[in-house]
Amino acid sequence: MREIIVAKDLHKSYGRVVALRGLNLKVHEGSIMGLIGPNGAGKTTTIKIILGLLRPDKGEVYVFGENPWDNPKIKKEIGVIYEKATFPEYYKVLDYLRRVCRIYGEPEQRAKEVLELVGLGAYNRTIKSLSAGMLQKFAIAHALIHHPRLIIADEPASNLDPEARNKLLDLILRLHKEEGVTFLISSHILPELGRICDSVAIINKGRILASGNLMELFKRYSIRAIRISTDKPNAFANALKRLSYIEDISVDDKGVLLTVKDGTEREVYEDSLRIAKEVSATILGIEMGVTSLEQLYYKVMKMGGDV
Amino acid sequence: MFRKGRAFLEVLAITLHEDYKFPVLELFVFLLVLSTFTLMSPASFQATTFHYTKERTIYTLISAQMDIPGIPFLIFLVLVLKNIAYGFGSDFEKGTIQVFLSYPLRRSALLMAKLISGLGIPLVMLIGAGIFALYVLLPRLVVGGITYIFISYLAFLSYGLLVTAIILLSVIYLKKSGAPLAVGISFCFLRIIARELLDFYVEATKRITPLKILSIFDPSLALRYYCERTIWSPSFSEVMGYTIVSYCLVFGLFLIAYYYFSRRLNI
Repeated sequence: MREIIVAKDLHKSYGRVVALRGLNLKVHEGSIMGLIGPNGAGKTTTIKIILGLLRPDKGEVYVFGENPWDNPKIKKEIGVIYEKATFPEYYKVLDYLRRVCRIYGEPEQRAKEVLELVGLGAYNRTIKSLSAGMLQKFAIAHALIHHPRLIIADEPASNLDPEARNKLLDLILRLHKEEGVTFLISSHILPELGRICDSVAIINKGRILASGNLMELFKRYSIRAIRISTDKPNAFANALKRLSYIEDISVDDKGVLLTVKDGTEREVYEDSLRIAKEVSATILGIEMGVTSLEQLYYKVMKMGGDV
Repeated sequence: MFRKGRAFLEVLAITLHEDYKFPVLELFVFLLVLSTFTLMSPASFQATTFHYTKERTIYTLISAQMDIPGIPFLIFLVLVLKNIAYGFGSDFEKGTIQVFLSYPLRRSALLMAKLISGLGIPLVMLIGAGIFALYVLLPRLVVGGITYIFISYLAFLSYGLLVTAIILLSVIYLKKSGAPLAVGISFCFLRIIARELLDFYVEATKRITPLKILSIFDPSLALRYYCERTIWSPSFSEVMGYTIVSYCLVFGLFLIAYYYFSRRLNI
């Protein structure tokens, strides 16, 4: 598949603070790539360079084969969702999107279509009066106006409630499937990213630690986790931490997720039952061989990555 | 269908909408026309009574409108400060500039849209109100002296444009609204203070070199002495020379702002 975004050896510093140190990234056409990493890892800097808002100190970046800096041609192909987007605030929602339609040469009824698509009905409210969640929906609608081939999203679900979040994920999957839109999504919410991404790039301290197809990365990093569902996940997880063969442990909405040293799966089963009894927790289920983005992320971060 | 130039016009419309939300534009036009007539009427009476020359009459009338602390010029500066220092500065602070830059238009086109809205409209309002008042008060003067009126406005506007260029540069460099606003206000006061001190100094020492230096930044000073012919009597070509030099300075600063915004600015 064609590479839509190619970043080669990107370096960027802000004074003495080094944001990127030789970052390499490729995003293939038709993929949904998650860009994940801790705060200050260089995600936003990378996205800004890709969008032509920042010039790298060194290195090259190509989007649709062209340099993104001050290049209106490629902007027609890109939709952008910023985490905290601010729009001209005195405009009414529908009026502003109609104007954006005219910018891209789209028919004006497209404005209503995208608002319906994201479930934002406040057509006649001023942008200033929208709540954080509504503004995020507006930003998503704004990014979809011109049928972009590539959508770059920085924390797109950060201000959305769980229902709206799920709808957004469904929308991303639908656009990907039906219109072949490529996505580059930076997010902290790993379970949700894991649900939609087919590839990831894990970034830390300005470098990509691991990137590529998600399934291949699971295989490469031997990610096979165990999920234990219980009624007291936090107390249970704390008690499990004392077991020496546990490599990693986290709690998510479905229970306790852990990775263990090879060959100790059987011990986990027995020890879990014992520890659950100790903390008066009830085991609701044990699922072996679970793959999760969180586990991959923590493992890669721990190892420092080998790319 | 996407058409070249359409994005620029739409972004210009968005900028105008945000800069002149009702009734800002209407109120400022009203104040500008009212204050221009209020200040120019006694000046025209004075010029007619004392039989001033054509040049001096035009200078007297336009200086009534344009000289600080004249209200019309103050209105112009308030609009420029509001739109460029505060408005454009806030675009950087809030991140609206990123939204504008996601549209298919060049950075230079975005800057042009901001300048047309923030500076072009107040300029048209100021000069329009002035020429309208001149025409109503002394119609024959306008018909016979349009070139001189044009040059006088150029001389009077130079300092305002210089301040605007400095404000624009500080907005783009600092990406903030507060500091450029303070810079703009300081430069306005600086002109008033410098003029007062200079009048006192020239009167006391009879030296005209400081007048010549200040005329580079504010050629309306040379124009004033050309018309009044008191301690310094520059020729008209000298006035033109000062005006050209000051505009070179203004355009130079705008060019730096344009280059920095288009080619270098990281957002």
